[in-house]
Formats: sequence, structure tokens, C-alpha cells
Amino acid sequence: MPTVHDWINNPLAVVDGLFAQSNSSPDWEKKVVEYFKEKLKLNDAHTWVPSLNDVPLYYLKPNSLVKFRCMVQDMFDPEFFMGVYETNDLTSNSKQVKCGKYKDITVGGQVDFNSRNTVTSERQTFYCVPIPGESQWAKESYAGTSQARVVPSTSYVPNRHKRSYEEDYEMDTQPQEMKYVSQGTQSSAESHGNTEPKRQETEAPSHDSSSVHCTSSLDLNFPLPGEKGPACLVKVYEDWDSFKLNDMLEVFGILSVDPALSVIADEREASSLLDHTEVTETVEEQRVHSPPASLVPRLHMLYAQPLVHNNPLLPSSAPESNGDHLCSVLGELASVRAELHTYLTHVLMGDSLAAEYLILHLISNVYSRRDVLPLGKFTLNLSGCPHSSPYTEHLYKVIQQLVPSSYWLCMCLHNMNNQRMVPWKDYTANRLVSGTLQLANNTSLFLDETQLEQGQLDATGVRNITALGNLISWQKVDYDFNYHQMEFPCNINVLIASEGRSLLPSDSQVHLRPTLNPPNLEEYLSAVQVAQVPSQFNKYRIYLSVARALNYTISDEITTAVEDDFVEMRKDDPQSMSAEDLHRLLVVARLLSLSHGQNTLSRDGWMKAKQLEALRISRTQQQKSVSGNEP
Amino acid sequence: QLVAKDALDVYIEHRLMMETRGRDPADTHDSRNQYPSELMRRFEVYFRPPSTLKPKVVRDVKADSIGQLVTVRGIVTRATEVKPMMTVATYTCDQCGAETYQPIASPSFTPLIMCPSQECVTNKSGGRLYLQTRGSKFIKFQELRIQEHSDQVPVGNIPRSMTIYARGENTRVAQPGDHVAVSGIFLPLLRSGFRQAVQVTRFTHVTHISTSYQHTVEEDFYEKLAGSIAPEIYGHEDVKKALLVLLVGGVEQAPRGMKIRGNINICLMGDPGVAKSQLLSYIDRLAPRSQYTTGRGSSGVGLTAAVMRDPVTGEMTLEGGALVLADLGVCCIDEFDKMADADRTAIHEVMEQQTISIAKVRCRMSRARLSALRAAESETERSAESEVYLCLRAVRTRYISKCKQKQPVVPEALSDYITAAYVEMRKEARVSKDTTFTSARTLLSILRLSTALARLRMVDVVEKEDVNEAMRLMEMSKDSLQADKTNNTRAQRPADVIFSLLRELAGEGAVRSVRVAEAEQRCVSRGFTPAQFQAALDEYEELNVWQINQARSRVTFV
Repeated sequence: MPTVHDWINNPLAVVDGLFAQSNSSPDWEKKVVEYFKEKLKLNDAHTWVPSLNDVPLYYLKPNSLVKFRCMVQDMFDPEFFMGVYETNDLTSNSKQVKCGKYKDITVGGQVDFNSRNTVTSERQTFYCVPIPGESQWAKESYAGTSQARVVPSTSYVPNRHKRSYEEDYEMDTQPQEMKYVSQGTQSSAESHGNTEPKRQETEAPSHDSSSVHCTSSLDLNFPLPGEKGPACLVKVYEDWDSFKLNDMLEVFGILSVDPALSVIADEREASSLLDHTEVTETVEEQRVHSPPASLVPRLHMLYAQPLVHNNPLLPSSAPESNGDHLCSVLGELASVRAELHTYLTHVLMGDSLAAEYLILHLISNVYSRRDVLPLGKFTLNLSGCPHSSPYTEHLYKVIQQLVPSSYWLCMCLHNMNNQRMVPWKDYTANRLVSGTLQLANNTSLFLDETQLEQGQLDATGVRNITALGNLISWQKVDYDFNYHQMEFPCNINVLIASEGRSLLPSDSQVHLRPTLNPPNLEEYLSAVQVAQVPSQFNKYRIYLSVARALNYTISDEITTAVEDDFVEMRKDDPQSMSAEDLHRLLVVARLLSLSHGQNTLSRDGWMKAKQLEALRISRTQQQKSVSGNEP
Repeated sequence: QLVAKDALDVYIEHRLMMETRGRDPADTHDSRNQYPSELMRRFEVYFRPPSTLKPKVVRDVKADSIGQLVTVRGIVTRATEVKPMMTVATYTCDQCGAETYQPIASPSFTPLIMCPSQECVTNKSGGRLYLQTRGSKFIKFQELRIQEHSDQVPVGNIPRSMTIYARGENTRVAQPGDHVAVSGIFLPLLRSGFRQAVQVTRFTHVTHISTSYQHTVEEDFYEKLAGSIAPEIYGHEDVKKALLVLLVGGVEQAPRGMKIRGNINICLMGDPGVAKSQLLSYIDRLAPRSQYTTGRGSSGVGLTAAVMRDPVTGEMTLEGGALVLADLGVCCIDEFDKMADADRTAIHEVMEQQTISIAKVRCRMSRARLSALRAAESETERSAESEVYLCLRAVRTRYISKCKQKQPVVPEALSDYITAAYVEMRKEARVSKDTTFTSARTLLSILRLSTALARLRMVDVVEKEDVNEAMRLMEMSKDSLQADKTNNTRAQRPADVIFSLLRELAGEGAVRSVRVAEAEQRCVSRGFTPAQFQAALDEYEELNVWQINQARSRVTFV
């Protein structure tokens, strides 16, 4: 009888069981998906599933159920596999029909390729990477909620590992020698683990350097430089058309790290040198599409939950289904907002207006697109940032503490001319080479323009600036497919810190006007930081994510009022208010209402938004006249 | 008797002779000693799909199409070298000398070693087989990779690709970047690996590749095509036609090393807000290769820009950059009049000579074969424009690129007609007070336009209608300028006319003066009253343009 965790430890047994019961009626596939969905729904069952994000790969049992919080970085071509196949068992001379779903390797005996029972099915492979720029606090918080950790970590390694192989052998009629031969000289963590469990544990942290083979040459293709974490080839069996590039997913699937997978790649690589007629893939392509399983594990997806956000403090399901939670948050929303505002005011050296706008920026979200125009984006240009001090860095750290994922892009000339921002298709390796602008939705992109110095931008630099401009204006990135470009819509909050007005477009520019002038900026900022208790931060984080996800409507009555107001303003001075100004004002009003937890625009909210904008514009104009008067 | 073309023909002939000579009904040959049919034929059989069949998208070819004939459409992203592939291996035995044949249907094969002939088997002589290259049959083999068109990919997805095996006459048909429709048998390729249950790499045995699509040239196709440029902008048929012609371009000629460009440059002029920029950006999107830039942001140098810091505000600005080698493409420059003079000169060089020279290194860089499309608000730098259009404000890209492949020529018979027309235009230009200049340049423009029009009709010879249409476009272009002139010059006041009359009288000497009496007489004769004359005198004296002596008898220009 399956025990509680059998479906986690040995999900393939469940799959095989359901397949055996089905008598080749095709609805068993649905049953499998349903089974795991049901299991995961049960009270917090999903927290029992170990996560690839926080448990090192070599601690995980092969062919067990794992989860992976990731972003779809690339989509490979679909591949065919034998959904059902028949084997000839040489010893007993019997034939057996087996299920090939959720597996990379056939099990038992000689496969009869000419069998009439063979069913060829199709599956899709996604190349998934951990969510780029995920904040440390989010990672830790996710790891903290995982109950798979409850098991003492020592029991993970040698015992578990060994047992897993024993189980493998039970299901596996393949002679043991074969297995070892197949591993060959491959020095993957797996083979170490099998023979020298103790050494493996000590070596574990330096895992990457110890597995010599492809590590150096294998680029895991993370969008952001310096990212760590496992990349994964996720095999998708059901409605893969519903997934899009850059989607955030929580994938529940069967982990497959059989070293045989890497051996195939090696063999093919070797053979390709000898026999050119058989090459259908280049060496680069093989390296990308079948990397060693110890570095890039395969994950056979049973169920995937699209993540609307990656804030671990909120339930991951869609916002409408967790009404109670929302209500409790909304209750103390006003006070949290006030506290956050005070905090940000301190961070912005006493500038309350800038703090107000920063809140609006942090909860902005592209909620819809009309033709090409993204609605709801609110790019903020925080000008007047001190150039000399590392103020912008500190500001970024503050933002990093508040949002689940963010990236600090230093706009120095070297970066602009050398960094690969726009992803491009490498046709030799047949993959999408990632760039810094391949980010998941609602990532905060912090552009530090204070680092920009005078100099020459080369062709790459101009392209990068153009890409940033497009990202800000249209919330899209044109991926370079060599023969054509393809537009990928995105939803990225861009904050530009600059000295003067930014050279990039922005929706709104606020000139920083410090009222405090602390003698030592760094000390001051760390003092502000320390004054906040961690629970306070969690409140802010929840607040920002909730406010962003709120629904928003404008009643007809208010629409007419706004219309009249607009006409009135234009009557006095048509120059003062263009259609664009109105658009911006509406966005500000929307964000302002949402930040107060109101999901509809009130007359009061409209007036407040107008005041706020008037204040900001007057400040910008003052700034202009001030700098204009200077010699 | 067929004439032998190559070794294979000789072999076939020889083998046929051998077969008829040595035919013995009682003798049952080993099947491998008989000539395989592949070895004896010189033809290849391929299927061409019915023209009514709609090609599929790569992502729609699924597992259920395995083993079936499918037609897919896509863009070639990779093509290998054409390699020989063995279809029949021929061996000779070192003992008995018998030939053995091995037809090969898979990508790899195991060579035969032992001779299977009757003689060797019965004698147990252990004859070894040796592969004989000249007697074997090879066919051409090429591997392609195609990828979906961007318009076939759902939003947020990566284009899918598919491997294509092309054999025989289907090789060397397509190159990377070509749009193709491929018909073939869709098969999965088994990954020959250790126990792997996957069959990957979807590929298609090609039976037919077509690189182009048939275009039927409809009547009034030209009008329709022009009308489809920026359909949201009403009217401006002639402007649109001119833009269409620009996209197609004229034929470049290089008689005896001299280069006559075929590219057509257009300058769109007009008041602000008459959709010049829209048209420009439309062209930018439509042209297969194009670069859009505004005059402010362009410099002659290339695709670079300088970052400058405003010392006062700390604002960072981008300077220069981006005339942009849209080589073989269209360069759209908005707000041309706002461009720095030095850069404008560089662009003139590009437009006229189609080269870019970089003074610093004193060498001529790559030829920039581009058409410049410019929009300017004021009438500046008109002289170099081939076709000037007064703007107040398309087509399938593929059709245009297809058109570009044509190289129409002007037939001998038409040259007289064009000459006559040109002479006529010169005459006309002299009679009418034309602000534009009719010169040899105009003639070149007409030739360019007419070759472009012929390209649009996808024919190889320029016809009379093309020339007529070209001249009409030129005429319309001039007319639009004339209209501009008359609208813009305000009615001259009598005082101004009188002033100019006086200036004329005063002549060009060092001391320019004229007697008042003489001047008055002249003015009255032109229909002005003496009062008007006096008023003009006073007005310009006040402006210090001229001085009048005490006796009011003489006017001296300052």
C-alpha cells in the first residue's frame, strides 16, 4: 500500500499503477494528472515536496517528485517519445507493454521497435531558469516554508541516496555492470555518491568545480550575469501551448538525473567526429539540448502552477480565490501605507513627495494593452540623485528589500557597450541566448544613470539604449532572431536614478529635494535601515504585492466628472493639459487609489492625484529655472 | 544509342551488356549479385504538391503526421554543404572478382566483408570484399533547418524549427534566409542511444522545395499596392506611389566603371502634422531593411553615439549617431532640416555617390547602397533631391523584395521617346517661370523611376507607360511645389514693388543712387500713383535703407 509520501518518493510507481489499470484506454493520462493535482491540493501537501530551488540537486532522490520555481527561458522544439512501448524480456522470453511517459530511459529488456503496441507521443521541452533577480529574502522565505526540510539533512544524503539506487535496481532488470559501464568516465556527482557517499557529502559544496566535464564550457544561459541556481529542462506533456516565454511557474515534476542521459551526449559527440552523415545537430546544439543531467536535470512535469507573483508571503494562487487573506491585509492597509511612506521618506532624505511617487511606482503594473500601448505602467525617473556618493546603491538595496525580484543595471559606458541586453537566437546552438532584459513580470529594474560618464557609445551601446527606451515606452523587448525581430511584451517596473533629467524616456520625473542633510550619508541610511524590524518589512512586502494585484474600476459618474474637469482645464489654457497629461494623471489617480486600497476612483482621489501632479510639475519647473539661471 | 555523359553512364551501359550476355535462365543469382534498380536508373522521382494545398505551419505538424506527406512553410536558418551520400555500395571480391551490391537506405551502414558469390562460398576461398568508389552510386545530400515565420508564432512563444533532408535535385535550392515551402515525408529520427526512449529530431524528407510564391499581376495592381501603403492616411496617392517606387528602387548601372545609382531618394516636405513622420515610420516598418532616425540624432559617421553630460544640470544627452548604414535598404531621416550642416553633407554623399568616406582614415568605406527618405519641414537643400514631394502624408514586403530581383532594361526603341520627352520638358521649363531646375539629373530621375515601375510590374523591359507614369510623378512633384510657392508668398505691397524698381534703376555701382524724377516717372508708368511713390520713399527713408538729399531730387542707397 502506498504510504503518505510514496507519491512524493516514488511517483513513477503511481503512474505505472494507473497505466496498468487502464487497459490501454487513453484516459489514464488524465487520471495521472488529476491524481497529483488532488494530492497537492490537500492541506499544504505541496510544502512537503522538496524544491530544486533550495535543496541541492545531489540531495534529491532521482525519480522523486520535486518542485521548481522558475521562469521559462527558452522553448525547444517538440520531441517524440514512445508513450507506450513493448519489451522483450530475454530471460523469461515474455513480452511486456510499458508506459514511457515521464521517463527518459526505457526500463527492462529489449525494446521492440516494430511492435504494433508502440504509441508515439509528443512532448515539449522548456529550458527553465530560476526567476532572474529574485531577492534573497524571497528565496529564504520560500525555503523556510518548505516542510520537506523537516527531515534531518543527514538522512538525505547517504542513506537516501543509496536506497534510491536500490529501488532503481528493483525496478531495473538491467545488469548492474551495464550501469557502471554506461557511466564510463563521467565524474558526475551521482557516480561519486554511489561509491563514496561520505566523500560526496564533504565535497558537496564544491560540486560545480568537482564535476569537471562540461562545467567550464557549459553556459547555463541565465538572463542576469552572476546568477546561481539550477537550470532545468522541463518536459511538458499536457497543453504546453498555454505557457509563454518568461512565464513564472511552479513546476511539480519527476526528477530525472540518470547519468545515461549525459552519456548519450558524449557518445554522440564522439561519433559525430567520425561519421558526418549522421549529424543532424551540431556539437554546440547537442551541448545545449542534452547537457549532463548532473548539471541540468530533467524534470517531467506533472502539474505546473503559473505564478502571478513570486512573493512567498502571499498565497501563490490567483488573487480572487483568497478573499479572506486580502480582507485581513486590507484592514491594516492604511497604517502600513503610512509607515512605508515614512520609511521611504527617510530613505529619500526627507523628500515626502518622492516617497509618494516611489510607492506609486512600486505598485504599478501593466494591466492591459490597447493595441501597442501598455496601460498601467509607471516608469519613474528620480532625478537629483547625488553623483559622488553610493546613494543609488543604497536606494537599490532598499528596493530589493521590498520587492520579490529586482535587478540593478549600472548604466556605465562599459556596461552599455558590452552587456548583452536583448536576447538573440543562436542558430548554431539552436537556442535563445538570454540577455539582461529577459525578465519575468513585475521585476523591478533599477537603472543607475548616475554611473554614466561621457564617452562614445558603439553599435551595441546604441542598440542597448534603444532597447531600454522601447522597454520603457512600450513595455516590450524585440528579441533578435537574426532574420527578423520578434516582439515580446513584458511587464517590468523601471526606475531610473539620474542626476539631471534622464536621457531615457519616463512616465514621470521627480526631482529629489532632500530636506535632511546628514553629514554621513552611509551611516544615516544604515541607521534608517536598522530602525525597521523584520516583521515590518514583511508587512511592506505584502502591502506592495496586494496593492498591485487589486482590481480597479472607474464608475461612469467619475468618468464624466473627469471629462468635464479636463475640458475645464483645457479651456483656461490648452497648453497646460495635453491628452498625454490626462493619461498620466489617470494613471497616477489609479495608482493612488490602489495604494490606499480603494478599487474604484473617487472624486476625492482624483483631486488628490491632481494636487500631487501639480506639486511634482511645479518642482520640475523650478528645477529647470534654477539650473537655467546658473552660469 | 545514348551518348555516355559520365562514368555512371558507362557503367550502366556496361552492366546492361553484361546482364544480357550472361543471362542464363537456370542460373539463380544471389540477390546481392544482381544489379539493384537504383544503380541502373538515372532519374529521380519527386512529388510536387497540388498548388491548392495550403502549406502548414511548423508547429502544426504533429505526431499524427508521421509518415505522411506534408507541406510546411518557413525560413531557412541553416544549410549544410552539399555532401555525397551513398545509395548503392558496390564491392569487388579479391578472389573471384564478382561484384556485390548493397543498397543503402539508412544514414549509416555496415560494410560487407565476405564475398557472398556462389564461387567463393562453395570454394570456401574466403574472398574479401573491397568497396569500389566509382562503381557505387552517390546522390547529393543536404541538410536544412527551417524555422517558422514570425507571423506564424503565437505571442510569447519561440519559433519552432524542423530539420529537412534534401537529396538529389532538391539540394542547393535554398539558402539561409530564404522563405521556402517544403513538401516531404515527415519522419521522426530515432535517437540511437543507450536505452533512451526518445525519438527526437523531427525531420522531413523533401520531395519538393519551392522558394517563391507565384504572383499574378492583376490589373491596377500598381494602384492597389500604392493604396495599401499607410491605408489609414487618406489621399496622397501620388506620394504613396512615389514611396512605393522608392521601396522597389531603380536599376543600378555601371557602364565602364562609372556608377549610376538606381536608388531613389525622396524628400517629403510639408507643414507640421501632415503625417510625414507617419509615412516615414510606415516605410520603416515595410522595408525589409531600414533605419529610422531623426535629423537631430543623426551624424554622418555611423551607428555610434556620444554620451555628453550637461555640466550644469548633470543631464546626460546623446549626441550624433545613427546614420546608419541601412545598406541596400531605406534610411528614413525625420526632421532633416534640423540636422547639422556637416552631417547633412555626409548624407548627400551617401545619396549621390552611394559611398561613405571617413575623412580620418582617408579611405572609402563600404558602399552604402541605400535610398534616403527624408522629411523636412522647410524647403532646404532642394538641389540634390531627385524627386521632391510636397507632403501632406503598402504592399507586401515579400513582393517588393521579389520585385527587386528584376533588372529591367530600357529598350533601344524607347530611347528616342525619352529623349524627345526630355527636350520637351527643357523647353517647357525655360518658358514657364519654374523654380525647380530641369537638368540631366531630371532625366536620370525619370529613368530610375521608370525602371522601378517596370520592376513593380515584374517585367524585364521598360515600356512606354512606365516612362509616362514616371514623368507624371515628376510633374506632380513639381506641381506640388508650385502650389506651395503661390500659397506662401504674400501679396506684395506697392511700396515693396516700388522699392525693387528703384533698386533696379540704381544699378550695381559703388555709389548706388537714382534721380527721384526719373524714378517717379518709371513708377507711374508701371501704374502706381505719385502718392504711393512718395509714401514708399518716406517709408524706406525711415528704415534707413536709402537717403534722400535736401532738395528731394536724388535717392542714394545706403
